Amino acid sequence: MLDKIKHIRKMNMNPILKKELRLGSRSIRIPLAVMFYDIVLAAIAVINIAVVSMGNRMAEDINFSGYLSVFQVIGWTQLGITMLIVPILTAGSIAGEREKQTLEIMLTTPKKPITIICGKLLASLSNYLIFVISSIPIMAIAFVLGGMNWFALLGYIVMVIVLAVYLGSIGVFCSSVFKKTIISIVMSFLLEGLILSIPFCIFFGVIIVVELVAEIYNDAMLNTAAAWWDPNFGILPLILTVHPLTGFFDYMMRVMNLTSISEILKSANCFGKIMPILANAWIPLNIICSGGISYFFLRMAAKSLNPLKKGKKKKIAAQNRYMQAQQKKPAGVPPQEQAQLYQPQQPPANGQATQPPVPDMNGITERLTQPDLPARQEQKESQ
Amino acid sequence: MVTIHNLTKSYGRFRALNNLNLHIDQGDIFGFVGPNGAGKTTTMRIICGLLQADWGEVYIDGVDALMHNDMIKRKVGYVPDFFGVYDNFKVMEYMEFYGSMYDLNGETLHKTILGLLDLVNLSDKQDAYVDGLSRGMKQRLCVARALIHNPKLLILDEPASGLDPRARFEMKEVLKNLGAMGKTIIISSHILPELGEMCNSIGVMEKGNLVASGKVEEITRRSRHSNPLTIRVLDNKDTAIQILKQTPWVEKISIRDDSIIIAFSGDDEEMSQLLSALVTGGVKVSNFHREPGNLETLFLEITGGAKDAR
Repeated sequence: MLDKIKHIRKMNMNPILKKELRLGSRSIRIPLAVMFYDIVLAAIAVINIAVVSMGNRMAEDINFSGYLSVFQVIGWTQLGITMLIVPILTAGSIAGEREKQTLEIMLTTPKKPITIICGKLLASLSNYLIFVISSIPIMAIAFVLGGMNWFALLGYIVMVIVLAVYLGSIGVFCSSVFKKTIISIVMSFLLEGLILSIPFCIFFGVIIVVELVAEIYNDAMLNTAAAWWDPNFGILPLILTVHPLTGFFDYMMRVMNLTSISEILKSANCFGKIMPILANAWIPLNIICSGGISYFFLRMAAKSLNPLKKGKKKKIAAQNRYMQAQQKKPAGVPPQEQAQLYQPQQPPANGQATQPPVPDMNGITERLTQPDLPARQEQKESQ
Repeated sequence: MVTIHNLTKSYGRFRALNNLNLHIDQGDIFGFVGPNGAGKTTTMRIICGLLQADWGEVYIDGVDALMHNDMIKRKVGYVPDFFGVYDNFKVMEYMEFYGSMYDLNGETLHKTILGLLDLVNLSDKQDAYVDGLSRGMKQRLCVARALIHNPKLLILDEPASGLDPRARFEMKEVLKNLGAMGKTIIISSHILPELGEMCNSIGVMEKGNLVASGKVEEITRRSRHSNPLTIRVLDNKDTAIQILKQTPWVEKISIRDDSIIIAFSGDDEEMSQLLSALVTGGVKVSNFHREPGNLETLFLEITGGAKDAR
């Protein structure tokens, strides 16, 4: 039974993921990076605890909840580092294969581009996971002093992985679109920044413009401006739900017993009547939105990797039908026979189109001797 | 096995393939010859599904390759002209990886790999790192890699480029063995004598067109007629030249030391007539032969001829 399960698991494992894990385990790069990463995190944690302890020493009573800030500080640091390393890990994946000239061989195998893309993403994320898992003990320092539980940590890891998948699919997308690793890394950072900032820019931009216009012209237009905040319109929560970072922010605020984004919006009555569900299921909805956008990017990446476009196939088929119809009219032979006729080919541009089609070899000799003949005769005469 | 019909591919304004028509029989070792940029690699890449054709039809083993690309991939093995290997991978693992790309695994895959490594003479390198292999070995490993799913058609793009004579010889042996196994093989090269030894049929490409194709023996036999005839005489050289000048098929005479080299347009019958005329004329002929057909000259003549016609 166990053997059977093992066998099935072996069969279903993405071969590219397997390969990457094997190769990755032999390189010293990732272990070194993880070590460096943990040293930095630990240093931050120790400094944080030292600062809190110092504060306690000065104060009259000991503030234990201050130690909880270790979790928060490490959590935010890890978020920042995630946004830095995930694009670097993923942006080189496909471009690196291309530079190594192994991508082409990979594309001649029956594995679909989406399988290659997913294998690459999973491989990069598994490397990233090493970073996250190795940081758990540091984050768990907060447990020692109480006030936190494992569920909070687990939730944090889920949120950070969702974000990593999101950023990773952007990175893989850039990697398959751009040919060079360096360009791909730069572009994925740009795209990341753009996607993370654009929803806010649009939103606040619209508000500012609308309010400016309203102020300059008349008060009646203020109503239009207010429409953007209008509870029944609910555009603010909508934009924020799509945004990958808000789920993370919301979660961190909840864990730290702060007022979360969704609660702020709720108290501002932004959800209105049509979207009360948003307020209650803010984080799951955010995860679903992130997943959907990641899927979109992965699909796009697979599409750009596939050398044969679907639309083009139809075009080729149409063109072939047209060509066959054209050839059918004068020749009047069924296409199968025509295909056989075409085996020995007489180049049309050779100026011999008027000659009847000759079997291949005769054609060669004729062409070999013919152009030279006049010249040879001249030589003979001169002799 | 492979039928290409009206295949056309343009890169921007440049037409790499211009209504190419080609047929390769089952079990043939087909040599693709042509100058750089003639469209050899383009054709091969289209057959493998790595490149989109503009229009045309490609049938491999009765399957439309342009429409059912996924079916073709299990029938074709491709060795590109430039390819990379993964550092930190052993030969066995390298092969296992590509085996798993074809959903092969377990004991069967292991046996297949051992058989293939034996075929390409790399059995003793199983545990060596791929990165440490020589270029010739890498090339042979890549051939083994392309054969892992037992394809009916093997496509090799410039398999001998950049190899030293020994590696080239070993490569040739591998290909001969494969031919004996009944695989259809397409090889592209610009080194003609080599193709002559390996292939049983060749196609000459020029500017996206197939200018000539056929069995190697036929082509070399035909091309023999354009090769010069060398006659070595011991004395009476002047008489010999006199006789040669009277012979209608002799087109050009040049003398190098003892030998007279003539351009002769007649066939074997007329050659023997010339020889008997010389002997009866009192010329002591010590050597009388025609260079065997050479693909290189043929190639130059065909492609040069095509250029003239344009």
